[in-house]
Amino acid sequence: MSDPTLLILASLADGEKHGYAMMEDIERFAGVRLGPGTLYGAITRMEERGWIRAVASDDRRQPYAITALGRKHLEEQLSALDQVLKTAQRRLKHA
Amino acid sequence: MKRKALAWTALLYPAKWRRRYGVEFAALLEQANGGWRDVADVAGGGLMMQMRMGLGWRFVAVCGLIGIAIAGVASWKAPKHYVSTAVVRFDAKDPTRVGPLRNLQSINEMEQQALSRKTLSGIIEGAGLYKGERAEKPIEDIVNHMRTDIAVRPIPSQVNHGILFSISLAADDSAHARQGAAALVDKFQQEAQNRDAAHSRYSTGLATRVRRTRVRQSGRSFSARCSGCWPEY
Repeated sequence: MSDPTLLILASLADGEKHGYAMMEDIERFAGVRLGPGTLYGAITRMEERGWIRAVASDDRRQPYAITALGRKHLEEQLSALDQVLKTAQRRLKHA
Repeated sequence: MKRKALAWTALLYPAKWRRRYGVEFAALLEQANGGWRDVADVAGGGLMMQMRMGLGWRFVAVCGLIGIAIAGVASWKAPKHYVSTAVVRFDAKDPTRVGPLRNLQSINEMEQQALSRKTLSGIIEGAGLYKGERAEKPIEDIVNHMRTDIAVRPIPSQVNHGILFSISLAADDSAHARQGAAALVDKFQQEAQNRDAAHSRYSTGLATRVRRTRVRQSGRSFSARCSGCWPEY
């Protein structure tokens, strides 16, 4: 579980966050520390694809929020991941 | 120091990207405290972004200048290395009686004798080679090291009445490389003469002459006449 896109979408699923808050949140729930370059590389791609959007702010730290398109993509990814997990667990039980 | 490095590394990102994300990215870098791992991550991110958005001429120029600077420092820091190469030809007065010296095996046999431990340790001490190492390591290790610095290579030749090959010695000092190579040539000459004595059948038909020596130094080369050279040299 180290795909930055999925981790960022999961982090933004419960509300908007700026870059550093995302880094801390992801480290807390996934045990993965995204470096600043990796984080902003993913943010750039995801904003271009319309999965996240910048939220107006007076702070230098720019918050981002997940869009409907991003939420749909996250649901699709989680569904595929869930399928993989269930298959793996079933096979481990029968092994 | 790391914060400054991070700020400088962030300049690797394309100007267009920095116009959009520069302020918030700088704010993130001020808060993040990942040390040199973050510097590497930001550098990697900057390069990836340059490739995604198209390499600008400034970026290419800066990378080129950095490359030249690194190459210059590496070249300046690298220890100087000299290779002295002697081209040796053992010639026969009687072309019909030179058979055993006309093949690779004869060079290998002479090489084994000329590069023996006793011979090389004598050259090391006589020419004052590997002075630094001699204070720290046993002579066996230094002899083994010297063997890796020596190259004996046969040279294809149209001459029908002799064998032609090169003897090279690498050293950190040009004078030592030259002295060592000259000493090796002497040993090969002695060995050839010994072989003549051992193979008396051919002893009258062989003459050993050093044809030419040269020293390559930092890409330049020059030739030196030597005693015993053929008249044309």
